[in-house]
Amino acid sequence: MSQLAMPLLVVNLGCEMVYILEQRLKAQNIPADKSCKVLNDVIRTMFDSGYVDKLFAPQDMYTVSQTRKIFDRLAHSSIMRLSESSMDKLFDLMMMGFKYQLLCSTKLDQMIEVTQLHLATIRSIVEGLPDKSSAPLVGAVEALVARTYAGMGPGQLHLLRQTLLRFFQDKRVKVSLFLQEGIQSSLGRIILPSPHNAYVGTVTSYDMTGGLESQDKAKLRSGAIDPQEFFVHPAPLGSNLYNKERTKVVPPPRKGDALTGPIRPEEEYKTTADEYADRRGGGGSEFAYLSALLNVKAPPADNFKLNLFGDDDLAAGPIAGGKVNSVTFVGNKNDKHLAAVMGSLNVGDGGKGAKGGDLLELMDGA
Amino acid sequence: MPYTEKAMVKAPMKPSPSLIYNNLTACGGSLLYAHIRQACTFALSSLGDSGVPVAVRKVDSQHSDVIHSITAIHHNAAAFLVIATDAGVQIWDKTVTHLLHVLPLPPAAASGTAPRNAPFARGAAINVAADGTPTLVFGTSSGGLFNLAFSEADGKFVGTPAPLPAHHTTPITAVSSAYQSRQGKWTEDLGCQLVTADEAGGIAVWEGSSAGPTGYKLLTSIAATGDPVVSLGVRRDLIVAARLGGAVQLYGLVGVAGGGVRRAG
Repeated sequence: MSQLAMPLLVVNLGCEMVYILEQRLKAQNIPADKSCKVLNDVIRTMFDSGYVDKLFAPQDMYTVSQTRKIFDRLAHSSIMRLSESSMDKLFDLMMMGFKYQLLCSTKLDQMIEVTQLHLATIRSIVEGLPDKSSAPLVGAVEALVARTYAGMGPGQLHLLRQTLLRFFQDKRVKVSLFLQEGIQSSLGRIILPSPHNAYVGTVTSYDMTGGLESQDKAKLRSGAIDPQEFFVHPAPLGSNLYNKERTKVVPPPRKGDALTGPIRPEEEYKTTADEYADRRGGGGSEFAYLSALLNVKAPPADNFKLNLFGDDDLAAGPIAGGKVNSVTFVGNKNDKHLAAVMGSLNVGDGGKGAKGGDLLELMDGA
Repeated sequence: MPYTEKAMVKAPMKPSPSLIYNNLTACGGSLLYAHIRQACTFALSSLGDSGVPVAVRKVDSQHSDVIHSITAIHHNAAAFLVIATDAGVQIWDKTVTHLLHVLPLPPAAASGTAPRNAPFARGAAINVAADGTPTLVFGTSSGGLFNLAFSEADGKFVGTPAPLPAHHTTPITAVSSAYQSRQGKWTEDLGCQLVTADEAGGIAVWEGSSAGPTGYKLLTSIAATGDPVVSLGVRRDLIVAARLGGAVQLYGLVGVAGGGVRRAG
């Protein structure tokens, strides 16, 4: 497998995390100085030069649980504190965001374009802050990404893509925003772009000198597809879907999940927002909607697996008394390299003056 | 050009197939695919268009290595499933219930690997050498190819994998032969040529005279085009090469011995 997949994974997941945090800070009208400190602390920790150097060294892919540990520490690198449940859901949201971008990339080098767009957007976020001190770090990572992946041939890029997709395989969590805007089907599956284009079925014949002899078009049954079943979200992959100023997208009417066919009437599909509203006894307020973005409900155990690297320790606890299922991540035993990388994560003391409790409490208390 | 399709079936499947090259093969009346570290099998007859998920059996194995290719090989009435992983090659019986052989990745396969890749095995095919010995050939991430003899008397693979002469310098993506493409149905005109392809888009044609370290020699090759070959088939005088970019190319094998390979289209 590719040993250059980790940088893309961490950078893209980290940028998605910053998108979500930035949106929450704005929505709660957190004072500018506090917002600036939270974002700068996270970005500075994530793109610290020593850590980035270790991250971009060729290495085996981490497990999901090991990767989550990285982001657990990143999220706590500032004054904010997240409960286990909030962190689980934040991570789920980050994972589904990057999974969607990977799966819907139609060209191999689009993975790199997505990464560059993530970084450019983060840099513009930082440059809009009163304290722009972390902007050079973002710029350095942009240059490193360009240098590392430039000149990679299609075979290497495909191996890279296979390695990344293996990480996300069978990871399926319903996200309210994705359901509402047609990125996910009602079953939580990412809706892919159409595999068909004008060239599929073209048969070209050459003569013995290599000159074009003839070109025919075979009519394939696989071409008889409804384009609406393969809806493509108009926002560029890697852009900030959580930006409130973005025009909301209304997906075209769809008969049902493109893979399994029409939705069976006896099955009920609840969106994350619906589930959150049920738990809270009401919904529709901005707080409930935004909290639902972070509080992504984990699907039933038989619907997704995090066994991506053979970890069988994931346990989804039973729902009891309205509590949300918690998802336990257990790290792989072979953590030596991870320990070294984690050691280079310079997580400063962000706890002074901060109340305990989760992100939601912090926002209330700010 | 006439082209007919019978029906297109969309069948949901759990667990999901990995996005590796050629992740579907047929063995012993069943279809098989790889899910990350496990082979999965289901009956062809269970495929339907009703939307009901297919009943899939996950193959139990003590090995949990990442799978890079899954190939069924046939020799006369015998059939085996060859799973290439990042630890080497596993050979299973046709019911995929008994693991018959485990071939660790040869040390030579791990050397010379670009720092961007962890070593792995990928691609497998059966070929019959000129002396009548069936041989399993598999590829590795270093571009190396290895062959292993099949003993018809014992009904199993014997010895240790022997390297083919060095040629490919990028990871092997596909291996095939006319005998592989005909699923073990021997005819006199099949020949003993082996075709291999790599990540750089190069294709090589080999002649097998016997099993072992000196059993194969390179006949000719097609220069790397940059577009990897992800699947290979060999049929009589044609090599069929499917490339990552979406093109399927046909190359003529007529007069290959010393004459090169001509592209037909």
